[in-house]
Amino acid sequence: MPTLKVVNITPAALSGGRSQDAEPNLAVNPESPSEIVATAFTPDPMGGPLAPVYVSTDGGQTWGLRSIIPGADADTGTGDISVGFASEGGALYAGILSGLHRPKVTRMQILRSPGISSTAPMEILVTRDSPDQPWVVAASVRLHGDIRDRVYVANNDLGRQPQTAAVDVSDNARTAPAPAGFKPSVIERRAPSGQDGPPVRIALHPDGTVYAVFESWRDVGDVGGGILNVTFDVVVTRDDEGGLGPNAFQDLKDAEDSGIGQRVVAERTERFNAFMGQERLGGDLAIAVDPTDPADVWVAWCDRGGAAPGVGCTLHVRHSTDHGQTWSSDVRTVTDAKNPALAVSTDSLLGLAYQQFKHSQWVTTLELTGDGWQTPAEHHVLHQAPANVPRAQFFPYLGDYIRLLSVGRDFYGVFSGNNTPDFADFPEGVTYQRHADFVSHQLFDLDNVTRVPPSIDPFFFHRAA
Amino acid sequence: MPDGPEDVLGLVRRTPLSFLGTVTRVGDTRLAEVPAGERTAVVKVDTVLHAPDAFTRLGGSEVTVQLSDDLDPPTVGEAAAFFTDGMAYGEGLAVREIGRLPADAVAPDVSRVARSADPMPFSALQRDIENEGLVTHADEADAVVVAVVVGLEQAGSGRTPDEKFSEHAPDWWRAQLDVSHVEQGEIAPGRITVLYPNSRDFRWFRAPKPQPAQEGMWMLHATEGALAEWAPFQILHPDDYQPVQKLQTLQAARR
Repeated sequence: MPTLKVVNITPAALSGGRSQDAEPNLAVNPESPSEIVATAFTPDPMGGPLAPVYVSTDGGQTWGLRSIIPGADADTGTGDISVGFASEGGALYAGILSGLHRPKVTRMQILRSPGISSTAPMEILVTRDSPDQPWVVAASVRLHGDIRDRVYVANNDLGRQPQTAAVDVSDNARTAPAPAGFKPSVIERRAPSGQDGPPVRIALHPDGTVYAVFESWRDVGDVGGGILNVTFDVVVTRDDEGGLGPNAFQDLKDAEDSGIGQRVVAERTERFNAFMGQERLGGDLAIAVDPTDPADVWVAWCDRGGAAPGVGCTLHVRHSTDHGQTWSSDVRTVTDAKNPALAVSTDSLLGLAYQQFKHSQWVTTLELTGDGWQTPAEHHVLHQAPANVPRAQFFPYLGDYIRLLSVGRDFYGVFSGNNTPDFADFPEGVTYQRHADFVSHQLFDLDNVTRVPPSIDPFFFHRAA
Repeated sequence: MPDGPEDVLGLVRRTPLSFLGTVTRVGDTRLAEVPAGERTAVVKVDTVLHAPDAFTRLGGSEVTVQLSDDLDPPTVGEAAAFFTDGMAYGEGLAVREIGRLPADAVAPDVSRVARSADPMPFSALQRDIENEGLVTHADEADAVVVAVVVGLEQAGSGRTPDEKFSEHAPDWWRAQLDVSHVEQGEIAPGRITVLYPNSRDFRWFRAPKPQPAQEGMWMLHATEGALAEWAPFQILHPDDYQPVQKLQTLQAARR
């Protein structure tokens, strides 16, 4: 019988914390799934120069905080951050936007740690100005008796205008000295309108097939206040040899225009940086491949299609069974939703996690389907809480992304949300480590007396098969 | 102990957390992440002397202390002022010892706080350190003025020609300031224009966001490149805005 647990990962020692720990990410060690690392916009609790990661060594039951990420800002830790474990050997990789950036420029760094037990600062392998939203996916391959870590860091490299969708790839990330073999590959081969959208995502199959998906911006209209009307195509590229050759990510050509990269859908619109439930919108994208079948791929994105006039943000999921060449129509849509996250288990169960603005609440949901929603999916509301509590300190409020992973038959995920301790907010139940009273719905400080107002915390979830 | 009472200010400057505590166990730990050893101790926190907001209520707790290699280990039952940095955060807190003073050395601060409005014994020292930072920050500014905000507008489209569209874009706005006092810099009283990022993205949310009719002491920094075409000055750092009362603090510190 499958089980599901939800855990607030803020440690008891940070019961007095009030920071907006938004935009979470997650890595599970495939060799030892009890070893889990999570990240968020969490500053070092003592204001130090290293940003923390959340660490669990018991499968996510309990968590601690360890400051090992260089480049911390005193208020938000790093900027965007994502993490990934190699599939063998336990090395941990991170892609960050440094908190120590110069004004006007994002600074991406790729980091390496030998493993979860290391308390040393992560080693900086790559530093490059201008990329946005680094997204880490790691694996290990056996080559001539050696195990090598193959690491992908997808990013939107705004220094390479106009084709900005890119992936930095290393075939030997574990042992090589910095830059550890990382080389950037541009994956946008058409001519976007100035640039591509922020999210670029990767799906990796054990046979070496690697997919990348991005939003190719076709038209951009500036409506002021930082808000854009964007028309975009969702494009999937593929490399059948691990993305390592001189013409990486060019193995999938569009059936219509023969351009590199198959358009899953074209001419979709979004209102980039508009607001919904205190959160900004724009650039929601996910991709997953069935670990038992490299031809079986799923993509999710959000746009205004089918949405009511105004802002609107509808989540769409589509499916390909032929290596991304042809795509289904929508197999699932969710209105007023963002942050899609996809993963496929080894028994070919597809997981979709997302956050929906519904009845003035942010509702975080996990759905699991074995037949692409042809029959009702297994449906879990992980969290539901008022969207106006707490007041946003900065954007993103919850995050521009969440993450869902599969290891074997299990699903692991992370999201951020209103941390009011109220069992009504957690239909599947929840465990808190920080001091919380679920009767009075009150958080308490270290003294268990002083009241602490609600804030945004990261929550881990695990659906065990 | 190598540190004497005269080093309190220096220790507060170097550490984020200090507390008066009593050693309950030596060679022990309360956190699995910090293995017990000759240089670990469990200390009961009697009084928090200075701390980040999240740790001001640490009193009454037991913390694990990774003792400094440069200091003699304390004995069980010994009370001392521990000056520390964060180390691990789990079911409990582990800290790394940076310095230690006899309890007597901080007794005057502890007794004084009971008669003051300060929340912690070293709050006054922290204010002194903040004021030093204020002076340093002012010294680095191109101008320091007292002014009231008389106008706000987006600068063009909010984006310079070389800036890409991004969720992290600054969204530049201009504030018109009516300067009543020039404390520093080559500025005449009257109206000046100042750029600021109006974005509340995590990269910019701490930058001052001038409000209509807001009066303050503003620390202005010269613009460069494309930004200079919009305004001669910009404010980016959280400390670029100070309440107008801070002018006296700045002037007093510079005397």
